[in-house]
Amino acid sequence: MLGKVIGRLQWTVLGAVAAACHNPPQDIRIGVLVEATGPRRETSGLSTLQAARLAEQQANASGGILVGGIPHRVRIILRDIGDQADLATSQARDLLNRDSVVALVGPQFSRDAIPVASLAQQAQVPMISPMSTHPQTTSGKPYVFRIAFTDDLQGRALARFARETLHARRAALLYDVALDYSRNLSEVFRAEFIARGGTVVADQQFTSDRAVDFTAQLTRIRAAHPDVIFSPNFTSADSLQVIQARRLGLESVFVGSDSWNLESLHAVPEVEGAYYAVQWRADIATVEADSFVVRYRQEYGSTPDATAAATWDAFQIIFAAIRRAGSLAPDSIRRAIAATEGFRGITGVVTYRNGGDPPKSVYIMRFVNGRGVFQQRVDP
Amino acid sequence: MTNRFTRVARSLTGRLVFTFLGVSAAIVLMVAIVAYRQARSALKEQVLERLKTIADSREQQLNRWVDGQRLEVRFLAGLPRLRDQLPELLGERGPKAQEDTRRGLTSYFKRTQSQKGDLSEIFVLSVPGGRVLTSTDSSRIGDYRVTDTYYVQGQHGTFVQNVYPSAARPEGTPTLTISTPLADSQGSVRAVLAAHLNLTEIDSIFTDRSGLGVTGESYLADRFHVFVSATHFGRPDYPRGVGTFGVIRAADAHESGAATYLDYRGVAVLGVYRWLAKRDLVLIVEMDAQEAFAPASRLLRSMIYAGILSELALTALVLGAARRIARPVVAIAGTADRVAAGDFTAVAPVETRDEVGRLAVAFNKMTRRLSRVYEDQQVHAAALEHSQRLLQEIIDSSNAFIVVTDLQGVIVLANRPFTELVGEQVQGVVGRPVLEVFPLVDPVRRATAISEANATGRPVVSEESFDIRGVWRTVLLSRVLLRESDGSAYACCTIATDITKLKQSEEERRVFAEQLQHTQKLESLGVLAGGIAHDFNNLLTSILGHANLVLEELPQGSHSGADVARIVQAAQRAAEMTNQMLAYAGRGNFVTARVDVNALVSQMSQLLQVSMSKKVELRYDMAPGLPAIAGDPSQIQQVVMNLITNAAEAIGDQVGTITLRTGLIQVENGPRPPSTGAESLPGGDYVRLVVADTGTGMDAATVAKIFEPFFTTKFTGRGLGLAAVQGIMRSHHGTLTVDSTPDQGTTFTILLPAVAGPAPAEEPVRIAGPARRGAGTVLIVDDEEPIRSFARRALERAGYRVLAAPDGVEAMDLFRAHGADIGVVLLDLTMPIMDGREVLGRLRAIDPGVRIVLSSGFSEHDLAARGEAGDERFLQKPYLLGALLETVQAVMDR
Repeated sequence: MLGKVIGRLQWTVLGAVAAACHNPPQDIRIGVLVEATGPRRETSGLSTLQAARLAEQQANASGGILVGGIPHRVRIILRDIGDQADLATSQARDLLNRDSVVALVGPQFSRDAIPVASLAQQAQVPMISPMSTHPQTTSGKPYVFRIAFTDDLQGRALARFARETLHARRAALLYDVALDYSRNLSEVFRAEFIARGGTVVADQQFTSDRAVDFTAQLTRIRAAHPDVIFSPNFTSADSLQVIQARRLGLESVFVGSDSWNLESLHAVPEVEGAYYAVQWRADIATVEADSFVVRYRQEYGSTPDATAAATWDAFQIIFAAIRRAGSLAPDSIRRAIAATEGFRGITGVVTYRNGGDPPKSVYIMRFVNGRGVFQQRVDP
Repeated sequence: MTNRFTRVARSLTGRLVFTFLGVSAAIVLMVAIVAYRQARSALKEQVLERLKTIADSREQQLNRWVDGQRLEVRFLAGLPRLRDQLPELLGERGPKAQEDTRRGLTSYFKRTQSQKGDLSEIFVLSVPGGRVLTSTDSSRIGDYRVTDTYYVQGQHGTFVQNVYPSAARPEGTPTLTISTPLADSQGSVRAVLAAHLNLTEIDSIFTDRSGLGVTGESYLADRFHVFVSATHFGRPDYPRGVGTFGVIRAADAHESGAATYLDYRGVAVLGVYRWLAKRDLVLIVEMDAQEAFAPASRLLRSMIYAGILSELALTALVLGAARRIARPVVAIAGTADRVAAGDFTAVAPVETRDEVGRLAVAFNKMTRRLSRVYEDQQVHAAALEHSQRLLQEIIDSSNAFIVVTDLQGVIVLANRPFTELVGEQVQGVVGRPVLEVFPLVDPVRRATAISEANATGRPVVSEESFDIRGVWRTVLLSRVLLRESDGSAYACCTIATDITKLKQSEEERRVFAEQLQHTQKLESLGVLAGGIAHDFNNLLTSILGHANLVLEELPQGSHSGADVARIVQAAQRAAEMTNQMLAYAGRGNFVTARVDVNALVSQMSQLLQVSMSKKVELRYDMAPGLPAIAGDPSQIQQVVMNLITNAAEAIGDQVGTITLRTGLIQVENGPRPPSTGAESLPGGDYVRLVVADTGTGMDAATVAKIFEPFFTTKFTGRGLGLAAVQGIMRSHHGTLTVDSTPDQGTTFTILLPAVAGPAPAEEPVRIAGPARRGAGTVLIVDDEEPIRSFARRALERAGYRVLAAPDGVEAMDLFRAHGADIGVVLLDLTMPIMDGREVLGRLRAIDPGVRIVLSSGFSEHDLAARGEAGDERFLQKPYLLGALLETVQAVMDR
């Protein structure tokens, strides 16, 4: 019995010492899952990285974030997920279990965001995927939020635009079947286009491991004589597809999605006249957006894109939630994020009244003389 | 109960027993703890060694198992059936063939899976595209795994993807996947065969508890701290993995080792942790510390029980021994208690021959000696008490206050007068510091006096005053040091005699003498001035009267007329001087009226303005509603004029301001600080008049002299100015004070007692009617011939018949002779032989209705003071022709 008492005492003392050593000074650790290497670095990773760094700098330059009256430094922990689905989950688990982050930002792509969202939900740590549009990312996961509009919204908006504004009757689909994003968006477009009296005349798929030559798919599409080709893919594929299509003499109008990267597509003359959707444009900026654009340009010498803007917004929503929660407990932060109402972000107003999907507007643009020109706004 | 225990614990026996028990208990405890710790440490080594052996075997088993699964997958991939059916599976022979093949393969894979049970999913992925062509989990068919590592690596050779959280499973299950390429008959890779190992099912390896006791367990965790074993996996208690010491050391630092730490339940364990780098897994083997150290605890327990038993036995032994040793000591202690209580007959028993026995013998000797000393001491004490009582009675009988203190100031003796003074009993003050009992003593003076007494060897006498309950008392303090035979001081005796009354009567005598002297001075001055004035006034009456007569008789514009007018002027100035002299002596012509000082000043304002330089600004600051004062308006006017003139002259040709301020002040009864020229005033309301100038001011020496008669700073001064003002003030029971600073200016303040009620309205000035021709007889009684002749001529010229008598006797004769004709008697009051008052009495005796005008060179006020003034009209000498005629006519008309 005495041995037990001595043993207990020893452990109690050890525990107390460990707790005392562990207490101060606590940073606000936020994990960021970013495509820092691989093909998505230029189209998404870099913007995510820069916006995250800027948000961290800005928060710390103004003295950190007050939690319970004490200023805390923000520390973002960046993890590269490259272009590998299993890497995203590994890195997410690493951030959650070993780095003990209080919130996650990213991943930007639905393929990665969906499994990571499951892990965040399981670990009960709030996560905001700024750009993921797939419904499954947030569906049934109260800990997961997004900044972007959903594929349902985007797909329907683009189908309606193609059918009613462009007066297209025949549509062809060309998409990366291995990507949840492209596949799901195509499904939504198909359903809406048909519902509005159109016909889908071709359904051509590919997978990214052989996404270099689309001649076979394009030839089949040419045979179907579509008015529009819906191509919700990522830049490398899109530019090749448009170039190859024009080379085959296919004159149908291309309709892209928010995954189209304008920076790289500007250089491709064949995309002239193509339509696409954006989450946000620097030239329709609000007061909030203006100062962000200026600061971003000062820091990096380039104009922020939608990914950067949405990432910035994700951080500001998390910061505001931490201030309101007055706590670094992930559960309190989640509750504060869920209570976000009328947050005036760069990409528009964010409200999470109905879960993690904020109602957002879809902007439809067109390439005219190598520049994106605003065509239509579709509100939720 | 507690008290009894305390008593026992404090007794000699008790202390002996408790000390012995305490020491032996401490030794037993120490031995027990050392033994326990050694046993524990040995057990720890032993248990950890055992756990390490178990960990080794578990690691080997795991590796063997994974290698076995790798071979299994390769075996499956090498099946000719699979290679041959690849084109069908890839859909190259049409969808139906594909579906059939898929179905066939699936059921084959499922059979394999159920036989082995170690693979959770077997599936085939297309190259390119990474599409799931067939799988034991049919829900996965059609999925794309194009970017998964096992797909990418599996195209090039057999690949084991170490434990990772599966993206395909919602809970991110830790998964270990083995993949291998599937080539067609031409040898080109067309697909990848992959299998997820059922990690949660490897518990068969880990649930083997042999060598782990009751509480021991072994389990796996992945590098993210997540439980892998099925018994633990997915526990909602650990949503972010288990961060125990062992898991963290192994997973984060990639270390292997053994330690005692808290496990995931928070229970202390002995644990062996191991990082399996080959599989990215953490292997943990743990056993509860309580179980591991149970033998040590048992050892400790039995040692303590044994210790307690032997302690009890020892207690009995020690108690007996202690009692035997302590008994004689206790007996001596009992005897000592009796001696201490005063019983010197008590004898301690001598029981042994050791140290205790010697102690008893010595004690008994000591008691006998003590007894003798005590008896002697009693005799001495009685004598001492008697002499002390005697001393106390002697000093109590003294009127002086007597206090004796030691050198530290603590009272050793005090007499009754002193204790009554401080309101205490004698017993109450002895032993207390004198400065505390009588805090009024100045400690510094006292110390100085004592050190002086010490130095000189003589008593030091000083006079000090104390405020005793609101009354100042002066005492004569005599301090003397009392000395031993060797001359060193041991006490200080203070004898204080109250000399308050003595001092008071001394002071009273001094003040009285001073006042008397002052009064006498004034009195004699007054008498002198009055006498001179009387004679002067008689002379001046004659001079003025005759000069007047001459003036009237001389023709207009004659040279002699101007000369006579100068005589009149000079005589009038002499009369003025006489008045001032009287005023200084406090005997000026005194008319008592209620005077409003404000009104009086207002009436004078024009006069004041013209009497000074244009550069001087005269400011008035008058308090409204002032009470009146009782006094002579003309004298008050003279005072104001005098002060203003002085002020104007002090300013001279410079630019300056004179402020004339009035106000009311209340003077309280009691002594006030002395001020220049001011006597002490009785309490009451006073009207204050202040004249302040911004002139040259005066130094203190000048101020001291300004009230002296004939002192002047002015070249043209007449010398009686301020002396006269002071006299007027004195006669009005007022004061005059001055406050002056050189180069800043001078302020004169006069205070006059206020009288009740407001000042009277100004009486309309009665304008005398034109002089009429007189009719009737006037009897002039005056010892001065020139006056008689002047009066006679004046009255006769006015038409009166005049009789004149040089003294009272003749006057009485004349009155008796002409009584019926005489309308008015002009009677001088100061005459030799029979003075005016007596004449008046006799005249009244003859004719009570006789009309009389009294006349004198003394003032009416002076006469009133002597009781000589009556209802009669009074004509102050020197009088002028007009005044004489007007008075006589007025009385005649009555």
